[in-house]
Amino acid sequence: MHAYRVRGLVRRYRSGVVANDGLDFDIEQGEIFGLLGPNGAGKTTLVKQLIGLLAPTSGSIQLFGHDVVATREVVTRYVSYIPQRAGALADLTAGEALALTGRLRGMARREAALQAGELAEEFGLTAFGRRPLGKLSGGEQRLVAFYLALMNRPPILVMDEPTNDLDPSHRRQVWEKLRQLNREQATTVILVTHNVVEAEKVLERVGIINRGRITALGTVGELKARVDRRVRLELRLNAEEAEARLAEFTCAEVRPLGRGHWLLLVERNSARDAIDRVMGDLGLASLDDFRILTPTLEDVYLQLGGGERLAREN
Amino acid sequence: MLGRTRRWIGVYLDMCFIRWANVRNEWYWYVILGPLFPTALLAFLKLTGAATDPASGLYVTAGNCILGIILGPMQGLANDLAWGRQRHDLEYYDSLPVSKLQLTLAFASVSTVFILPGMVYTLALGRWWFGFPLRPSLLVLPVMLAAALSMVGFGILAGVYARNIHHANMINNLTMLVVMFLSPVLIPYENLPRILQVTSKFLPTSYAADAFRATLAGRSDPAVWTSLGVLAAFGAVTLYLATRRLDWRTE
Repeated sequence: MHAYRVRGLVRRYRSGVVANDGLDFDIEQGEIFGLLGPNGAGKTTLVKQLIGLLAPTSGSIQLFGHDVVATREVVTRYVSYIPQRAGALADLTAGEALALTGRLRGMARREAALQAGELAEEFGLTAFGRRPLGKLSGGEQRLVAFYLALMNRPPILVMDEPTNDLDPSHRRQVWEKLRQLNREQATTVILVTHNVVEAEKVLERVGIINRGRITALGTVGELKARVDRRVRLELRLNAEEAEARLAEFTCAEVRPLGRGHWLLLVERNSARDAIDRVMGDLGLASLDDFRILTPTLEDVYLQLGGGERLAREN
Repeated sequence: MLGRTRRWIGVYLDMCFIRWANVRNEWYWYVILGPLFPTALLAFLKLTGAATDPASGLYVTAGNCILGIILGPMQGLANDLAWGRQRHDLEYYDSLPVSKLQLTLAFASVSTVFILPGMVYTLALGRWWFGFPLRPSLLVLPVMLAAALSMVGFGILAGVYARNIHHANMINNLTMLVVMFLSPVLIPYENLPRILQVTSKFLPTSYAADAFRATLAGRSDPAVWTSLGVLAAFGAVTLYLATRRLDWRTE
């Protein structure tokens, strides 16, 4: 069943900027859908339309068959959206913010307090004590904002960059929680992120958006099949004679990445030969590092939509 | 029906708690700064001879109080909404099953409660300096409530259309000028220029000041009820337009 059905969606700002230009896509119930794209691609505008904060210029968005613009109650009932920071609750403690958000989402007082206590205990938010959210670090605020979204166990979660500012252990905690919710409660997750490498661990289907248009849409596997599927051998060599020998590797496209740092692109069916030659011709002694990589979601992102703008940003 | 009403009130009280949390950590600023403005204004009016006898003392003291009751919730809401929109904090409320009316009423209610200690202080100071009698009628409470809500719609308008918090502050200063000098809040009606005597009839502040002075003196005659009705109608209509008809969304 479709959770969201988007057809012909256009959003044109008064300034004339077209943020979304004729988008058509569905988000299935119970899937983890990623919306990837460079800054200014139109992701945030799209999310704000999905949750009814912004009306489309034309086109339609249906949530479980209900028009989002005409019946905004359906969004507040089924969808939990927490922006990057919950600044509105800056003067509340983490415990207060969780319980209050639960109550505002329709939970009974006792039930909200119980769930808030469980979440705070499970994820160590009690360590923040009586400090108001506004006094916590950026990462801590982001973590609390993430758990606010989970109150009252909504069927759809919309997350805008949930792991920005988080340290590695908290980032892992967030991804694991999202996977768990999806697995155990069939929660639909819509994820907006730049963190393509980490998001790959959880995403099932991806839409890449650039300049207001969806440039690629499909499962992670489908999209990978559309990009350069060659195996990448990444080498760090410590001897000049080994580097000279790379010129003889005719089975691979050899690219320099830096001093002593090389990339070999080889077709899948000749990958084994190339690996054998690296080990045999170059030898382990001349290798500081050797990695075998297959196409990642980041490659998909760079080749099917996000790359052009990203390169300009850098 | 009963369940829905209970839920509505519960959400309203939770919103009040959020607004209360905004000020609970800095309550001492309200205690210290709250009485400064009315003390300075009353002292100025007494020392310059603008108010000397009990009647003129009651006029300026009540005007001073009504100024706070009207401007406090209105300016507080304008700042809260402008700041909330600037920082995208309002998206939190937008994503929840709560109404704009609950949000604005809660924020205005807390602002009003915070004005009360300063108002009591101002009345006590005015009574001590000018020696006027205080015989408040029971209508004083509904008058205060209606006065507090009368300009809340304008506060929302300012908060929604201000480009940022600085812009909202400028609008607030402008409204303070209008309320202080273009309606008979501090300056008696008879002393206003003819044109302002006419325009003041269209400002709720005139009715709030009249009704508040009358109820403080113990009156509850038809004139007070008329002013109360005008205030309530003005507040209800502007609040309805601001919460149901005004587009709060940003681009």
